[in-house]
Parts: sequence; structure tokens; C-alpha cells
Amino acid sequence: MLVLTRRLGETIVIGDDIVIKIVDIHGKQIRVGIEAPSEVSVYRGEIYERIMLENKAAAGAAGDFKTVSESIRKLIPSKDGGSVGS
Amino acid sequence: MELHMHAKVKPAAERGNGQRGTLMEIDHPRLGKVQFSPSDVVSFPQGLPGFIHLKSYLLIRNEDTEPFVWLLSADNPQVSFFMVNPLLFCNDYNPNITKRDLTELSIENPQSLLMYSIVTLHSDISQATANLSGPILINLEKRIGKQLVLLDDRYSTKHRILTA
Repeated sequence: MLVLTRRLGETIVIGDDIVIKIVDIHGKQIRVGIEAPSEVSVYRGEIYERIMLENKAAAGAAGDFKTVSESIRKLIPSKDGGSVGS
Repeated sequence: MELHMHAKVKPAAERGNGQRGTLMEIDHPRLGKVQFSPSDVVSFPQGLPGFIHLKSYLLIRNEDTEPFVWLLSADNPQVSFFMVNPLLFCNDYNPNITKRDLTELSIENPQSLLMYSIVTLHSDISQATANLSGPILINLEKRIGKQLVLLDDRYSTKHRILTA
């Protein structure tokens, strides 16, 4: 891993179009500004990791799908799909 | 079995009759043989975290497991997700969906946007959880999907769904 020392306000440039800037430092917390093109996804590492682990657990989980479905039908009145639009 | 988005699950009696036209088939451990045509496939251009190489999915509704729906990998029948509309049990759920997300999904009409949470089952069914931190968005018209990785900590990856 490349390790660089940066001061407040300094930047790191990755490739032609990604700029990372140290915006603020408060004790152990560092605020980082990121400029990246829209096709580049930016995540918080620990949240990405949690979702990855949860996806793997969910994809492999066996279980009583029918009973879970019956249980949730008792809790909720409608059988709505995933529609978000009003 | 009632199916969503034109994917067809072949009833047991019809199996083995050979394929018609461009229909493809996967054999899912739970749902059995699922027939689909290329136009049924929902594309996830970035894959899902943990499964970034799988980019083609089928969205399937099965009467026995409503209101849940299934998201099946069209490439690997061992990979499938059991999902539910999070608004059914968390009616103030309001993840931050950015303009960029909507652009990636080619959303022009909000009516065509579907939102689901992936559910994880456990041997004790009362422990079933939904991942509210990584909602699945699907543009039904354009058949494009994406799993968001929310930037804030408001929502858990393990939200219990059977706690009244």
C-alpha cells in the first residue's frame, strides 16, 4: 500500500480525474473531500463491507421461506410489491 | 407459481418438453426450473457487493412466498436473494437516493422504480432480518437494477422484520 503524509488542505490526485482533499482534522477524525467522475462509486469502507457480508449470508441462507411469508402476511395488511411511486 | 416480469417457472408436468424459441432455463434449488427469455433479465451493471461478477438477474414473484419476491442470478442458480418491500414493515423508511443513482437507473418515471430489501433467514424464523442499509432499486421499464450502499448509518443491515 502506498502511504503518503498530507497536511490540512493538501490533496492527493488519483489518475486524471479523482482528487482527495484533507478538509479538516479533529483529534482522531479526519474529514476528507472527494471529487470523482460520476461513474466512480464512492463508499464508506465499513458499510460496503457490512453489505457484502450480509449479501453473502442472505444468498446462502436456507430456511423456511413459506412460514416466514405466512408470518409476515399476518403482520401486514396489504400484499404490496416494491412500488415506491405514489 | 405466479411470476413477475414475464419470467416463467415451468410447472412440473411440463418439464422436459424441450425449449421454445430463445427461452433459457435455470434450475433453482427452491423454485425448480425457471424459464426466461433474454428480455426478462434485469441487468445490474455493477453487480452486488460480494457478487460483483454476477450482473444478470430475474425478478420472480411466487404466490406461496408473497409479499416476498425472489431475485435470481441468471448465471448462477446457487445465488438468489429473498426480498421484500421495506415500506411494508418500516413505513418511515426513507433512504437517501441521489440524482446519480436515478441517472444510473435511467429513471424518468418514478412509478417504474421498485425498491426492495434483501432478507436473511435463520433457522429461528423470528430472527429474520432485512438489510435496510443496502436497498435494491430496480427500474422495471428499463430492467436496470442497483444495490445502493447508503452513506449514512441510520439503517441497519440486520433489521428484524417479524417483531410486531
